[in-house]
Amino acid sequence: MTELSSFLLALAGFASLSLSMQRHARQAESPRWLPRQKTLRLTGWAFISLSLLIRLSMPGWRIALVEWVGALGLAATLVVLALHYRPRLVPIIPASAIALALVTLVLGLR
Amino acid sequence: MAWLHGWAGLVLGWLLFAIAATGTASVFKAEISDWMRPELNARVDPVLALTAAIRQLEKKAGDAPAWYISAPDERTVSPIAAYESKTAPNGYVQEAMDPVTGRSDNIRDTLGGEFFYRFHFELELPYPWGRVLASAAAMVMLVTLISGIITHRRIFADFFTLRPGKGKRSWLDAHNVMGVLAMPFHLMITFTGILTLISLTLPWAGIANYGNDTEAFYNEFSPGFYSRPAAGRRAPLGDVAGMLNDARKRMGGRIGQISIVNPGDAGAVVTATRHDGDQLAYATGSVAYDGVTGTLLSSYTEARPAKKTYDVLYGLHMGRFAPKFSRWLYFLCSLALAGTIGTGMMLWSVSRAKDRKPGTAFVERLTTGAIGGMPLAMVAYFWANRLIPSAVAGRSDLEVRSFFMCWGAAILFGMLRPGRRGWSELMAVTAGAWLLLPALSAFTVGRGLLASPFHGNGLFVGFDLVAITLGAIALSIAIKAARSPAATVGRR
Amino acid sequence: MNITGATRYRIAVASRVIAAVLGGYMLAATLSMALARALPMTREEATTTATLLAVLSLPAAALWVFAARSAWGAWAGIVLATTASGMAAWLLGASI
Repeated sequence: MTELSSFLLALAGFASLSLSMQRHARQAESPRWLPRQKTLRLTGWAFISLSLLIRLSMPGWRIALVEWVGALGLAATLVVLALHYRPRLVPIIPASAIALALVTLVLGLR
Repeated sequence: MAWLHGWAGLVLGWLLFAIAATGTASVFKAEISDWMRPELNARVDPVLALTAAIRQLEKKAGDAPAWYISAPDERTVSPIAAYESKTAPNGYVQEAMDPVTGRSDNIRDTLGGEFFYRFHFELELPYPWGRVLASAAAMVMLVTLISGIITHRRIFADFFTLRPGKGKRSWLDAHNVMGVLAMPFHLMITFTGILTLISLTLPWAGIANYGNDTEAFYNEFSPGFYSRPAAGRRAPLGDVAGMLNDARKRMGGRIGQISIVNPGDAGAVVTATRHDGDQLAYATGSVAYDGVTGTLLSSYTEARPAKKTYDVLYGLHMGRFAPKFSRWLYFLCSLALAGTIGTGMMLWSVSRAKDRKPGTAFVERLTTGAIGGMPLAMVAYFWANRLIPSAVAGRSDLEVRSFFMCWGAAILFGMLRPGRRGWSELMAVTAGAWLLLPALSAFTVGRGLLASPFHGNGLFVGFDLVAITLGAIALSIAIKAARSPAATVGRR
Repeated sequence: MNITGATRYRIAVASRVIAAVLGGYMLAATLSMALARALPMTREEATTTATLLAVLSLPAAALWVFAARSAWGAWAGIVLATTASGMAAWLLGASI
């Protein structure tokens, strides 16, 4: 379960990072309720760091690190594709991915 | 630097694309091998399968100096044996064996996934030239990657940028996105790829320390390797199953492969190596037994820091440690690497299309067939596996030959019919071949997407789904190339 | 002798390619030999470490050759580094 929640956090991180950039914010028609770009950038990096921490919390850190780098690429690719094919979906990715990550974490703890 | 990136990438681009494409297939080497041997189905405990294989080898290969057998695992059902043989055309035999009976005469003769794996670093050239050329290509790749990073100044500003349907710009964006997003993988796989062949390509550190004392070199490098000459007295093998079960306990994990040196002789040695699916490092421990009495001769676990580092780097390249999720990541990232090389070659032609120089036109024509023909050649190999009857002599060679004939035909076709029409037609044929593969397979062997879900046959379902996906991608390229001239090579 | 600009350019490029390929390999080879002798470890561990480190010098050399201002400068750097590591290997008693 940690693999999945770590991946979801990375997804939230990259979506936030992309929205913190002028070009992509315009592309995604960023709604008003989104935080300011500087905040988005900070939270984006925070989510990505958190995804690494979660992944490393499990035993076997070497394989975990390799997988994390791969998952990072996959998450970023999904954001790139979403930005082009479903741009208006991007602003809701961070919140929903975080929610899903929490659910999977709680389910995993049980 | 931009100049270096463009030209270095071009010179060995075709080769690098072939290496990346076959490397991508090698991620699923075990699964491809099983798909290509549909006769085998039973899953048996590895030790039982290995002892069944040994019983058959005693009958038919008793005079071989040694047998090497890889154990079945959760990814592949059959043990695969390799041994020297005077009657075999190239001096040695490599064959899959039935996990229950150990026999191999009821299994179709095929190289399976091993062909892609071998081509990936040997390029079908005689030893050592294929390996040297592959290493040189990897070095060029590394230089191209580094100069690409330096050239791409707006790497963070363009991080999420993709603009399809904009001619040269969309080629560039696709090249950048696939290159940048999987960059850690690209650097890792290229560097570790060079390292896998380093003892061949850069042996000088060993020569500096050991001179020509190769015996000391081998002894100190692999202290776990126990060897002794044949005693010259005949003696049957002892309780191999008992030895292997003991080895499993001692190593604390599964058995990856075993070797039996001097079989049938009083000096027989049975060595078991740890399975590399259990750890990041490649092959870190082994246990050796006296083949007749079963006495423990040596037990070794790698603990030296530098050698362990090398084993981990080697293991990273092989990706054998990877559980299902990361195996797919390896597959996707390798696919992205092939895509980066392919789009890079397209960019080279597209940005020079206006020059109309003969050299540029030649490169463009060659790119069409050499790159576009690779997926066609790969699917031809699978078609051959299903169509050539089991009884045909030299069957596995015929399969390999159909791969190369198809690739050659595609290159010839690209020369005669360049530009977007050539691309479109080539991709349409490729799409048809991939999309029809599940049907062909269901028709010829009866295990596949339609029948398998009811028999819990995940591998055959997965293979069919991948074939359909690849076919769909090829089809969309074919349609795109036929419709929009801007999205394809510069000729209009 | 009259060498045009284009020919001169091509010769310079060819010379850099040779410097990168042959020079880079010579540098990696001599460097691995010097390190194999110099590193304070058992000799098989020193051999592995030296090889792992020396591999990195090949792409570094190739990038240096193509980043240098002139082909002469590129050659000078490679020759200097190779001679230095070759000398070091010889002084440290590398066998060949």
